[in-house]
Amino acid sequence: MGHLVTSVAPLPLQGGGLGRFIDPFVQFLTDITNLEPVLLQLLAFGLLLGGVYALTALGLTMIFGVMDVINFAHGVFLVVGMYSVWLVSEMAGISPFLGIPIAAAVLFVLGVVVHVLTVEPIIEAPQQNQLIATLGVLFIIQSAIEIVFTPDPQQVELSLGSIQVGGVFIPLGQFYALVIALGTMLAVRAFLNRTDLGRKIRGTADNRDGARYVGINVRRINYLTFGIGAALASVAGGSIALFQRFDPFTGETYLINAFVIVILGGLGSFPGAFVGGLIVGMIQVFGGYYLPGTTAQVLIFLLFIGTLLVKPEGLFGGAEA
Amino acid sequence: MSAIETVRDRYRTFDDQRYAPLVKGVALFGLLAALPTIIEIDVAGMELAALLSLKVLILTVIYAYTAQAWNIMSGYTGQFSFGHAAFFGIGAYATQALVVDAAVNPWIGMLVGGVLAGGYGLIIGALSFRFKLQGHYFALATLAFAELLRFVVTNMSELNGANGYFKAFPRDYGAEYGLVAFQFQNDLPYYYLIVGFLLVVTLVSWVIKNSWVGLYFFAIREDERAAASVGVPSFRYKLIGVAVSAFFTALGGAYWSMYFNTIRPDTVFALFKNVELLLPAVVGGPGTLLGPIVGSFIVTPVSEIARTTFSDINGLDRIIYGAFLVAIVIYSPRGVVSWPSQARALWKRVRGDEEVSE
Amino acid sequence: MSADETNAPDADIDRDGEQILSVEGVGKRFSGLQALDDVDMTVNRGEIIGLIGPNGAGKTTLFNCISGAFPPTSGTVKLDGDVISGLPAHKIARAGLARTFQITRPLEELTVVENAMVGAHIHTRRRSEAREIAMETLEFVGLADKAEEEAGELTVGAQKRLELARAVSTRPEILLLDEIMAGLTPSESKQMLDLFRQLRERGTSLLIIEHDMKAIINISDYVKVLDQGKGIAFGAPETVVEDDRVIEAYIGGFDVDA
Repeated sequence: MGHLVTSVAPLPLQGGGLGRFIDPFVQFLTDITNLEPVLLQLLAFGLLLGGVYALTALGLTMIFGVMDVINFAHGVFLVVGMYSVWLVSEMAGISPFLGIPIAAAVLFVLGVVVHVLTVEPIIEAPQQNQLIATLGVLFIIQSAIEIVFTPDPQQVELSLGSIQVGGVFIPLGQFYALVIALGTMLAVRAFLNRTDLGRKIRGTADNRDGARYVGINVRRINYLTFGIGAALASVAGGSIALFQRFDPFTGETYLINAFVIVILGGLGSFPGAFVGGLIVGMIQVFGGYYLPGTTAQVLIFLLFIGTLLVKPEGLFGGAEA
Repeated sequence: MSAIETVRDRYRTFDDQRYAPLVKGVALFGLLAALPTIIEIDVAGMELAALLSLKVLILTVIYAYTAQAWNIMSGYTGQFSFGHAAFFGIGAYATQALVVDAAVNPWIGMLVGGVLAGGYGLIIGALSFRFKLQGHYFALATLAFAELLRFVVTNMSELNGANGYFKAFPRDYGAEYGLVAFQFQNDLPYYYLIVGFLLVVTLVSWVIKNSWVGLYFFAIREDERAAASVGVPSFRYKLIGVAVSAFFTALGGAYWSMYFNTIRPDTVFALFKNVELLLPAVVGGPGTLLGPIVGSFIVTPVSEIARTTFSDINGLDRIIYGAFLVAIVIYSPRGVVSWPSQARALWKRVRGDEEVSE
Repeated sequence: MSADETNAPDADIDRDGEQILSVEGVGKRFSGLQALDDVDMTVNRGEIIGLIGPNGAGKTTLFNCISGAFPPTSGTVKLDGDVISGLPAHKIARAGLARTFQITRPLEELTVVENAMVGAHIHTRRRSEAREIAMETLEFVGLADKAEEEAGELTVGAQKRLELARAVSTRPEILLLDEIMAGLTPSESKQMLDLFRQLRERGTSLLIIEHDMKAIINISDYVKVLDQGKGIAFGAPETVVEDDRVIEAYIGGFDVDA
């Protein structure tokens, strides 16, 4: 049953009528009352996908929290991470697991450069200007990848197989990705809470002017945060590359879902990103199983819009850096 | 007085006249009308048409038109929409669904699309403004409303799902090639038709700009609270801006669907479409009348020429797009049309300095 | 005349003219903080009333409640006898109440005359008529020669006058002026006080927040004192400033500020 929604072509369309909206839910409820084993399997897939999704949103939410910028280039940073891991393992024969930290280092530098060139000059400008600038960066990097590596999908050669736990089938690639995601999130949390730089970043996120007042070099915090955000994107991308094919445009889907997660959880919130990632992952997995085609994505957008309208600060808004 | 200054003064006197906008408009649209002929003029054995085909011209004017429509909402009222593909797609789909499935005349389909898009715009606006979404949040909400439609349409078998529509022949809806059928057998009439569309939306924009509505729009863009404190009903006027903008954007989508052979959710509702619809206005100068047109004549031909000239390098046109985006917001957020006045200000400063030093 | 009044203003003060604005028991709570508590006051036609009090007393909050920036949590505001509290700001402006902001909010990319025209459009949809009204008010505040300049380019003093012009262009019955003299040079302040008097002569009532005590005493018919969200005194300026409670409030206020 593969990687579910993200790689499955739309199912043949079903007929019209209200039945197509009601039947899946009836089926879902029947499965619950019958305690169908498939539910446990779906839950496992949802957790695997949601954990990785949470990581894709982490860098985005951090950059937003600290400098109030929505980084449209985040998705393509993810893709650069994927290609970096692929290059390292294909060309240099290094294990893709080792490729991930290399990709993170590369992306940290790229992130700082992008920030200094495009975001910093307009950090005080109206918000849509930063949005447009990072969108420009998205197109430039995405097309550069397309030109260099062709638009064809690539794949990290890695046959990790799968294990079975209590009748639940777990692909190891996704499992390692989840482990990396959880480990990274814990590490970032520790970094923000325990280190001097981390505390400064949190302080800046809480109150930019206050941070300036107590002598924090906000400019430096900005580009470091942007670099860290990009590095986190590449770790996410690298872990996704462990189990999934990718092409230069893969980032778009992840970017949109990362927006959803960030808004759901609350811009700038870490626990929010985790819970938001799980919610989106679960909807995609369960929706992909029960609903026709890509209808699950419709649900996700409705949830997104609803959150924006009713609780734009998100479930965990303003709780933490 | 130097010759240049004389010319400049004459121009200023001309500029103050009531008929100046009319003269400028006639000159601009006269030039647009003459373009198909101009590109075929032989200059030193080279025709401009080799680079700039009629197809590129049509595409350029389509995007000038849609940017002008986007501008009414986002340039004038300042409510930055990142989801105009929703309206564009509604226009295209309403037209094709009615033409193909019900043999309705495309002009009627187009108007239905316009009204539906206006309605969708009102829903988006009423929700977002009522809940006071601003800045990033508003841009993301508009994007979400557009993406929502993309997935809804993709999953609707009634609208042929991901396959979309293939344009019908005029005889299928009881018409013959020509204006009534909204279909022609060559590109030239298509070009004049879209220039006509552009003329209409530009006139509407001009009327808005030169009435209290435009002033209210700008006041809302600059400072909503200050505007409300002197009697501007900002909620209502923002809705007017969205609805008018959505309506005209949908007509652009309808034209698109009658010019090209197919529409699919991944083309008319595409994520990238949102960018294409706003970029000319941002590059040319948001909130200005000329900006969207000038912007499109810069952005569209360059990326089209890049696409056709370097057809083996897929994606070069998007790099150019990206570079435009970054450069314009960093170096000239008021757009290309602000350059003459900025140059004048610079010139004044330079000369002023000289006078001081004398 | 007594300045001992707390929440029953002008009970034993004889004032001329019909009542324009009446604030009755207005309170405002911000998540647990009582910014305004049961404030009463009235403004009659042609009066200039000064609203004073230490920083954080709730003066601007009261302005916001009256002008509809946000609704009061309790109490009512009446303009010409009609309840306006709870109405949105633009409707209150159309009912005849205009205000300026403490931090000027020019419509930066519009010209000076266009700024004033926005206010004038309350009365007409015709651009030419709005322009006439706007030019009149620019003439009045002394900005006519800068009519075609971009509002964002003005000096602080000129921005203050533009702020006034935009509000006056709505031809209000009552004007709420929030520290419009702050940051002005002494001569600019004097001009501003002249404008206030001329406005009064035209029949416009003024409710003024100002830090400059001398100016307030000089120009106001009556003064209302707020402290910690409560009205603590009302009366003629000379009497009010000698009131013990006012002095205490101010000293206390300065302590808090320091």
